[in-house]
Amino acid sequence: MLDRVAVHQTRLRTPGLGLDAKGVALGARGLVLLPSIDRLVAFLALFTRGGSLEDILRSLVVEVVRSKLGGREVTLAFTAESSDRMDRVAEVARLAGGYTFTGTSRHFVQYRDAGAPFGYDVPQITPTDTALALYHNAFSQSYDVERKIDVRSLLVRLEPHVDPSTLREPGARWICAEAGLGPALIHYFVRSTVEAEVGVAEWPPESSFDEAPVRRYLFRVPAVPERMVPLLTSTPGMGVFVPVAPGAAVEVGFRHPVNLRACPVFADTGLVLFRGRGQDALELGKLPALGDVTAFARVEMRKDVATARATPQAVAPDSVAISLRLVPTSEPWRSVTATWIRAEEMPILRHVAYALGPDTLRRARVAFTAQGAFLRQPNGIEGIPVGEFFREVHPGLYVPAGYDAVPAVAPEVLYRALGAPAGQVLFIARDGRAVGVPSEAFVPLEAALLEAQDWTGLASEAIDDSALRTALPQVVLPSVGIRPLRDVGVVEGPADGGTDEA
Amino acid sequence: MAAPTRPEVAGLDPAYVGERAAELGERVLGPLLLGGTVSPVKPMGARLALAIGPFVLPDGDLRSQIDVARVRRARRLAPVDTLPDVSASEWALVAALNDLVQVSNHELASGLTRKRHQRLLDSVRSLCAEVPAPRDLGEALARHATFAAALDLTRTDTTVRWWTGQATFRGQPPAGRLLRWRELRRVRVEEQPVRLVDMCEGIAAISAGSFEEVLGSWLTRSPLTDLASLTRTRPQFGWSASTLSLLATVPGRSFAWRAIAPLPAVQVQEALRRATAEVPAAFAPARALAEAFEREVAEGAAARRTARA
Repeated sequence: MLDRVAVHQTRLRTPGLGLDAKGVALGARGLVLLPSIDRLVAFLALFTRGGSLEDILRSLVVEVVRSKLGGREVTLAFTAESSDRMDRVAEVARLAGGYTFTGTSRHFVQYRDAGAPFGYDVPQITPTDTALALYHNAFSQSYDVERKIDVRSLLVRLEPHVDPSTLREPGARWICAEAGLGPALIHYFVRSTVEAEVGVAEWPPESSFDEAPVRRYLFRVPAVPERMVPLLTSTPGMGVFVPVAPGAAVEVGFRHPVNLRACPVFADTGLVLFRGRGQDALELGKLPALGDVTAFARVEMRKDVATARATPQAVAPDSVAISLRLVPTSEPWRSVTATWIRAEEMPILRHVAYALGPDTLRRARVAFTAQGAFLRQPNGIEGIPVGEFFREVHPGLYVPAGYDAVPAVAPEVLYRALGAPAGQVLFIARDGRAVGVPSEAFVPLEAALLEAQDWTGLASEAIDDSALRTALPQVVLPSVGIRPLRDVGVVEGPADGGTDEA
Repeated sequence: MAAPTRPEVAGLDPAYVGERAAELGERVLGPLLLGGTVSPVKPMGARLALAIGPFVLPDGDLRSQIDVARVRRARRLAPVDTLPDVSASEWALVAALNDLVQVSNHELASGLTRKRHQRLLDSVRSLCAEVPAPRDLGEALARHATFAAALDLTRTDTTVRWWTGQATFRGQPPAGRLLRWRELRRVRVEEQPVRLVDMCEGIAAISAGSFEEVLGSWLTRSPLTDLASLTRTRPQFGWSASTLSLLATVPGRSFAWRAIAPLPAVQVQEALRRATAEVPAAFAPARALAEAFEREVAEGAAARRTARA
């Protein structure tokens, strides 16, 4: 039987056991004793459903231990840190059929439960040479460590469960195709204009009878069209995998028993593909170079390039050309992002500038020309209610707000008709006249507004680097001890009388 | 000049050499660079100083502080981010500085052993002759970074007077018993800072001239430090082979100019004029180099005056 730790108890008999801030008996480490490997998997599955294993993973040690009677059990040891963490572990362990202990090195005592809210202490330590001594209300047992279990290799060896619901989960997919199916799948994706990246991964030969490494095509598809899912999932030699964690993906139709997203044991640079139907997982230490599948599109060379030639008989385009007009429209204003401030309106802009907020001043850009100032504000020009408003119908092309261009050609066509000048921002006035303002003429409004200010220079002394100033070294003459010149050899020099030491 | 030798070659126990070097680093080099109390170690002697070699201080914290302090000092002259570790020559010069300070230690000798002061001074002189001049600008910069504060070393001599007598303490704190009942005994304490060059005052066994001569010889081993203090009154600055070698290169002249830039221009030009005049006529190339530098300094000073105006 264990002793219950009482309120305000200060001394504990278990070595390495102390009381935390809440008064709970707690050692440096926590330990969960589980009867078998499948209980360990159940514990990991339950634990990762509710939270991440990342906190305890760094200090996590999973071992198979053996009692003196030969019974094998599994222990899971980790840094305890706080009773909050231990409480959570204890709850999950209880559910998984395990017991939770706390201690520091060898002796672990049962962690607190409803019967002892402040934990337990042992009445007497059992003298033992074994690696582990566990004290529980129901038993006391000592164990020797038989072997360690690597969490990552345990997770890789676990077979996914059947779960058809993952077939309908949206999102990106990894597709692994045998070497013979890869090119066909590439062209299928290219023909169907499915965005995908492809790479060739290599695995070592499966047996010594294989001469070459096993090659498979690996596709990363941001979104698989639904119509392709039956083909991709049912074709032998092809597997579709759902990314479940960085560096890990599980075949569609299956689900890994442990929430892998909560177990950061897989490197981002590699990939582990968990396959269903009893097949081993495919591990890639490093992802192969991936390239766009469109690079593999079939290329055909043409014999000749037909070139259109203007002939004298061709109809001159001028015969149907009409001039551009702007007509008022009743449609609501959209993309009103510029204003044309004529010279006579400039004083108003000066007045308004005092009222503009810092964000508007920073974002608005202005160009001063002989025709007036052109002001552009990508978020909308309504905040600067001066001048004639313009809306952007095409990048670099503005028409007056409330007007439409007729004939109602597409903005691209209109822009091309104006010569599509590079580096120019075009404004079409109401009379159909277009003016171009060089893009580089637009400067931030805040830089353009303020006049050059007078300033007075103040002569200052050199910067005082008092922070870096080092104190002057002070010499203190200590005693030189016995035979001070022991290390000083005989030096020829002028003798000035007196005698030296022997 | 002989390069520093390894302890095995010098016939010394490497462990003993390491122990003395660590002591030297902690009590002399560290406080010299970082400020604080320089407590000289037992005289090192030329053989032991040269046997230290490129010693690495075992105290990592002190080592990194020394590195930072040296880089901070070097960055006043050149935009460097790192400096090589304290070299064998620098260790020998630290030992020489330690011995030079110990020459002024009144406890070094007694009535029957007063020759010790002269013997130690001769040892420092021979050690300075053994340490080679810097081979390149980097080494000159590193030495300056280590020894720039050497001439700032001061010793505080304290005189305690009371109603029936007085006592003087050279570089040592006065005895506590003499400071008791200050009011009743009318105790007065006078503290007198003593610069490195004046430290040998009161040691009858050696003359001030010979002490200054050895100090000047020590300064020539770090030409940038020598130049950076050329307005000093004692020992007066004089052109040496190492300082002239520095001026022989354009970057070296830049360093020299930066080193003397903070000094008063008039005194700098006066010191340079006097030092150049002292170069014997037989050394025409050296004299030409010194004169060219003197002209450059004069032009630089004039340009600075114009800029200020």
